Amino acid sequence: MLKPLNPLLHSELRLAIISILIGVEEADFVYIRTETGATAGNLSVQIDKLQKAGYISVDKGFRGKMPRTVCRITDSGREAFTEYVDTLREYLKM
Amino acid sequence: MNEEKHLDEHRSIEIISRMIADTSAHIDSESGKYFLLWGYTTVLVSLFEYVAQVSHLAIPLCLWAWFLIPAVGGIGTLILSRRATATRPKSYLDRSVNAVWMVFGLSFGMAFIAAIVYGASILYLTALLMGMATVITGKICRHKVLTIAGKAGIVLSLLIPAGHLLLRKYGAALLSSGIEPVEAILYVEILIFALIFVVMMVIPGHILYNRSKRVKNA
Repeated sequence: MLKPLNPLLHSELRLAIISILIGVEEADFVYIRTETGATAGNLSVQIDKLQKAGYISVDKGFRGKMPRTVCRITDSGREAFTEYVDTLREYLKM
Repeated sequence: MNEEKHLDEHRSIEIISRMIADTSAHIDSESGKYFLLWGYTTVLVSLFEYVAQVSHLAIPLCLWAWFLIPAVGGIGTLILSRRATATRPKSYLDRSVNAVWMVFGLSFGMAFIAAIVYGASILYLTALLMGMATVITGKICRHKVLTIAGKAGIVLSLLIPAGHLLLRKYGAALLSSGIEPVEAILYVEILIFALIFVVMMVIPGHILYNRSKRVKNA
């Protein structure tokens, strides 16, 4: 029997956020919004869910006078992503 | 992108692949600009020095022009990196490449002191160290063009001490035929230095820049 896919990652926007963060050290909120094409409100909600699950960490600060939100993937986020991809492979028999 | 949209396995794979590929393209997009900045600055200042010294302009004044390389390169690098990091994601590659060039900067400082105190050839040491940093950057970023250009720079840098060797061997003969050998070698050395930077930085800089532009437009 196949393992169920992690419901927290099995969402279009949350999966996109984690996929961006998996390859970088950190990414800015504006960059993630541009890449995903999501609205700022929706993106904030999804980032909050991932942060509460401990998959990402969020730092709010300033760059000059502009507010800046920086996201980073955590070790448990990395683990969850690897597990998600492994389960996907089983589904697709890759 | 919609959070609630039904996601099947194929769509999941598609999202993961697209996001990873797009982010890699963004990370790559800036690398060519730094090589163009340092490459063109070094080549132009070297050519100015060559013309100034061959035509016997006010030597003490024109020697200061060499300091334009770190001044223009340093300020330009600061401006480019500030503009780039405003929205660009920060990668592990960035940190590794920054570390390589920081070590290069430190080594260059030491080489500069050696050149002043012991009379070591600063042009040779600069070309050699720059070649090493370029090869390592190429290896880290998997840019074959940088690895090849850096290796070419290291090999070409040997032409500078080779000039000194020739000077020792044939200096007397040149002098007897009316040519000032130290000056002749110094002029050629500057031209070789400029050539090394064309090969090592300007050409790969254009290749990387054009490649990233193509990826962005695709």
